[in-house]
Amino acid sequence: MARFPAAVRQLLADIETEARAGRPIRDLLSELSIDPDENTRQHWPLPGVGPGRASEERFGCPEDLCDRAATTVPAGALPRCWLTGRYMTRRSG
Amino acid sequence: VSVFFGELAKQLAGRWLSLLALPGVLFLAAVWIGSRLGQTHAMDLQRLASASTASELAHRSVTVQVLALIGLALASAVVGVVVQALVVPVRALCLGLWPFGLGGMLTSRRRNRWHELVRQRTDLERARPVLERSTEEQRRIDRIAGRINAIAMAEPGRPTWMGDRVHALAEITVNRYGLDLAFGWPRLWLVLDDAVRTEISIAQSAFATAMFTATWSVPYLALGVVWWPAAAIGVGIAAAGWARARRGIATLTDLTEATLDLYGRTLAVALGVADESTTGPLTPDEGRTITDIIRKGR
Repeated sequence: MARFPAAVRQLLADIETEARAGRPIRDLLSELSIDPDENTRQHWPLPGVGPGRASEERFGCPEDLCDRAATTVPAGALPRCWLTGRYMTRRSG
Repeated sequence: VSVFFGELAKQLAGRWLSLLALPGVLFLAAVWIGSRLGQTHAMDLQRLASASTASELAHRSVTVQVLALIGLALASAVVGVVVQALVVPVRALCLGLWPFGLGGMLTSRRRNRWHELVRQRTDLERARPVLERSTEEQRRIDRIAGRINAIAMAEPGRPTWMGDRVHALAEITVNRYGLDLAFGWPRLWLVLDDAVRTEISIAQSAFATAMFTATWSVPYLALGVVWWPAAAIGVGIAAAGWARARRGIATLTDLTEATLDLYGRTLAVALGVADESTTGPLTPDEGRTITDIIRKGR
């Protein structure tokens, strides 16, 4: 039960209550979808958004002790400081 | 309550019917037609109409008809189970998990194309700083960035697009958060909200269903050896399943990356790596500490 969201848990509880009371539960059951597709709830990307604005990453000294700047490939490993081995920090622009 | 379980059983039976039995019956029908027509008369409908199996069966006793129906149901179920077993190799094929290094050349080709576009983008960015750029120059950079992402979300490492979606997710997780996804994912799953888990489960189900659909192409393609229209049907099923699987894996990986962005810190707090008062995405140092804890030297 715990893996279901609160709304589904509530619906299951309502179904059980109605069934115990001997009242029809057909309408409630129709709301309880176990369809694996569940297309109505599935996340869809926004249509026609396009590629978006490219993110230009530049990295600098984590302590601001030197002017060394570094880049990496998109989503690549973060550059590190040659001296301390610490991850360099992202610079704006 | 019995009504509830009755309805639940009905829904499960409906799902079994739609996923296994019904496609199985359709495939058996294709086998029957293919065995009657063969390659030389593949589209000869008159020959098919003159085939007398169905009309012969109609004149048999009820017992024979019932036995034939039971046999059909069992055969369709067997076909469904065999197709279900084939999902694993088909999924491995789609995700680029090919044996014996077979995908090496394709992976290199994808990687070279990706790096070539990254080089083009970097050249354009260096040629004109962002504040001096015209709108058209920026759009050109954006378009190239879009083409890079269309190939792979991180440096390619698999021979297929779908494989690279998953590969990129693992790479991004370790590159940007210092977290090992293979070991970290089960722990993260346990600290996620119900709503997040539901969204990811739906995306996983959609991908699994798409893979199952694509796998139904295998028996049709095999049947194409004796009746070519079955191969055409198989190609159609494979294309539909492939398109749905691509959309499914894109959704699943997008949601998983978003989950890591939003809930990485929750995992760090749960493991005592970060204090509850901290905010923001997981830092690489925190991620590395988590990886040390969960991998335990493995």
